[in-house]
Amino acid sequence: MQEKYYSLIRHLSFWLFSLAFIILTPIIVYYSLGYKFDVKSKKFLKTGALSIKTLPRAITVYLDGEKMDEATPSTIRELMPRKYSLVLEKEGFYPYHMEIEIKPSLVNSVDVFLIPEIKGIEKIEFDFNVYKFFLMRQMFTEKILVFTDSGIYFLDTNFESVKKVSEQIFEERLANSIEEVIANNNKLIFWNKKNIWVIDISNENSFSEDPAKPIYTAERNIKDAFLGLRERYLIVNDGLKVVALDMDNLGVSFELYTLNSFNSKIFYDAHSETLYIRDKIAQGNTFSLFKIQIMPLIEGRISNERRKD
Amino acid sequence: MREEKIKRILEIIPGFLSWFIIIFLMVLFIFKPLAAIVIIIIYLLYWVARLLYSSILLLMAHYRMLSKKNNDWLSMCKDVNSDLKLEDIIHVVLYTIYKEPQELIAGSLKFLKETDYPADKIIVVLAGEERAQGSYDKLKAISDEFKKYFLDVIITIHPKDVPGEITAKGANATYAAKQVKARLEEKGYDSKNIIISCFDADTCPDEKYFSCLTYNFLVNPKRYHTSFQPLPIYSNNIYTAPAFARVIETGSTFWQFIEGMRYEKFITFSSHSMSFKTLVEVDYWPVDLISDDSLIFWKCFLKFKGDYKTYPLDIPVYMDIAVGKNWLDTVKVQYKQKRRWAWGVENFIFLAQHFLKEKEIPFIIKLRKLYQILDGHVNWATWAIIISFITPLILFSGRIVLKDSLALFNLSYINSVVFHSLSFILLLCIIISLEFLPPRPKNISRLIYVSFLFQWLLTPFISAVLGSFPSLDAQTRLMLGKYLSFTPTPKTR
Repeated sequence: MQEKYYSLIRHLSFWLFSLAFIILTPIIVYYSLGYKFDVKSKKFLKTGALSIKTLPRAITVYLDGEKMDEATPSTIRELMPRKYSLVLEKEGFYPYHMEIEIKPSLVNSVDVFLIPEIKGIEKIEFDFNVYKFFLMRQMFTEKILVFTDSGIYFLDTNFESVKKVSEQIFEERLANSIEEVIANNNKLIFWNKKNIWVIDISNENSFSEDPAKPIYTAERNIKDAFLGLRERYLIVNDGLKVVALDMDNLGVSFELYTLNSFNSKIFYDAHSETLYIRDKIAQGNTFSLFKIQIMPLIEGRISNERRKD
Repeated sequence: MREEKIKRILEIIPGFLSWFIIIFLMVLFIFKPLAAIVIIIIYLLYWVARLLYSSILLLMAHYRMLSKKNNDWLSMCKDVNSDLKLEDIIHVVLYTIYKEPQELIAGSLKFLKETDYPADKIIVVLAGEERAQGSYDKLKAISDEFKKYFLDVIITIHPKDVPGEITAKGANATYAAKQVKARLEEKGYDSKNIIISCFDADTCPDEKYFSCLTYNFLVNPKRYHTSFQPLPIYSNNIYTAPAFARVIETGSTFWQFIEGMRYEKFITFSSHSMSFKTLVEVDYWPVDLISDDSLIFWKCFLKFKGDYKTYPLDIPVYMDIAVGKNWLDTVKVQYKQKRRWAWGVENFIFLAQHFLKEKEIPFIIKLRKLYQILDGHVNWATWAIIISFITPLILFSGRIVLKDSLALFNLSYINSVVFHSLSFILLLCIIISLEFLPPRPKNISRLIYVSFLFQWLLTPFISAVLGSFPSLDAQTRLMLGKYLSFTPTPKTR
């Protein structure tokens, strides 16, 4: 090809792209700002846009009953400012209806999580009468603790493995009264308003042999319980006092604090080993907040004793 | 005094413009975010158009190169009907040498010896520097090895600390060319018939380079008003250079490739050739400025009142990718090399100063040429920063400030269009760059081709870090009057 043809193509391309830039830029800028030319009124109208994201993707979009060309994620532009009815549909999911408002030069962003239609329900394989269950985390896995008319069981969350924890059968009323379960150092600790029980789960083979041992009975009602003191004690608020129950040597307990009100609350921060107490002030009617830092207390006493020695 | 003031003002202009663009966009976004978004949209659209236009030029340049690839230039030279004949032509190939190792220079001469052009019509000039210890001995050894192949091998040693000169390649080349002139005159050669090629020490010409150059010199009626530009391909050490260095140097090759299609804007870069007569007439390369390769073009342009062009030969010369001792050192070496190239912004000051005195060149041409340099350098310093940093920053912070803005939403869409256009041009580059690859050394695994493909993903990062930043650095130094000293690129193989 001769140089003049290269030059010709080059100049043509240059003018073509320059012209395209000159013509298209104002149009794109106007369009970007939301302007749309309305042929009927022969005016520029300010529009808005709707951006739809969904989980899962590829959901069909209906705007005011009209099916949109693009499935989600999608952006619908040039919408006149007003209210619209938005429907998101996909087979196997519940249809999602909502009303949205489009404002001029703005994007209304909709982010929707669609719920799949419930088609089947899974039943656990055993046929015992289930009184109560707790979802709990043990050794980085989720487990379900089930109180039944045949004993206490551990299930994994996909219902595939069933393991008996204890032969002990709690009658239905008692099982239903259990308020919380915690797992600690191969022990399952659970309580209702009156009692605290412990099951040793250290020996997997003899799970079923171990009955649930009651380790504490409250004079009034057990209101709060936390693992504390390096998870070796259970700190319990029984309405009258705060007691620490030794979990390694069952039966050993200490009274930490005498409460002034039955309506008091405690919170134990295991990280800083601090006990927070909301309690009535002595000889008063108002409540205040108290805190006891347990570890410095223990360390102080130990050093005092060493000094005495 | 007045001249000094004008020079300072001119030195401030490019850096001021680049910084103004960058700061203006950021400040505008803080106070008038919507206006900043509109400007960025226009800027991005401008780059989409420019990139697509560049890809057309790239395709055309590639087609033109392929169409000339199989030409038998030497036979064509013999058939030329012109006032000059092939046998009249003598080539002077001037290698500017500093501390480059002997084997690197010998490697370049080996390439030169093996070109299809008769070596007995080539005079080699080994232009060493007194500053580099042992220069003469090194060049003498090379001369002894290669003297038998060429018409002559001349050694020149450029003395150090010559008053009026700066430590730059141009000073060495000029000193050598003056020495050579005397020698040629002694032997009775006519400078009209001599073509001089100024090469870096690592420049290895393609086997058809000198025959192609000679043909184009012979047939060009304005041969004394034309420089001849080879296509610099940085591939001598491509299999051992880090991926990012390969990308940046291949980018430079493509830039030259594209520029070669715009004849009226094309100027000399790096290794180039021209008539010796013209070189003498314009008083050689500048000795007090760094960017001698482009300034020689402007010297000629001024001398011939605008009647001077650079002709793209579409024949490559192979050069080394600038590398350091390790990866980090290579980043430093590349940064310094690109900053030196970007120092070419001094062309703007040089030209503007001369244009003020020059009365014969039409004003519109002066304006176009100054705009051409300024546009090139300001864009070089800003475009990658705007596209790779400012636009993402505006998109990111805009989500907080202008959460629901339709303009911001569309800016993100247009930004993706820019990156798609970039990807398209990158794809073209990938395909074309494969043709420039030398044969793979046996000790290099085939897996390197995978890295040759994926290396292009580094482009957005590299264009900012080793593209815009060195250029902005050079312009800022010039603006502040902290002049750059010539840092030779270390070359080892």
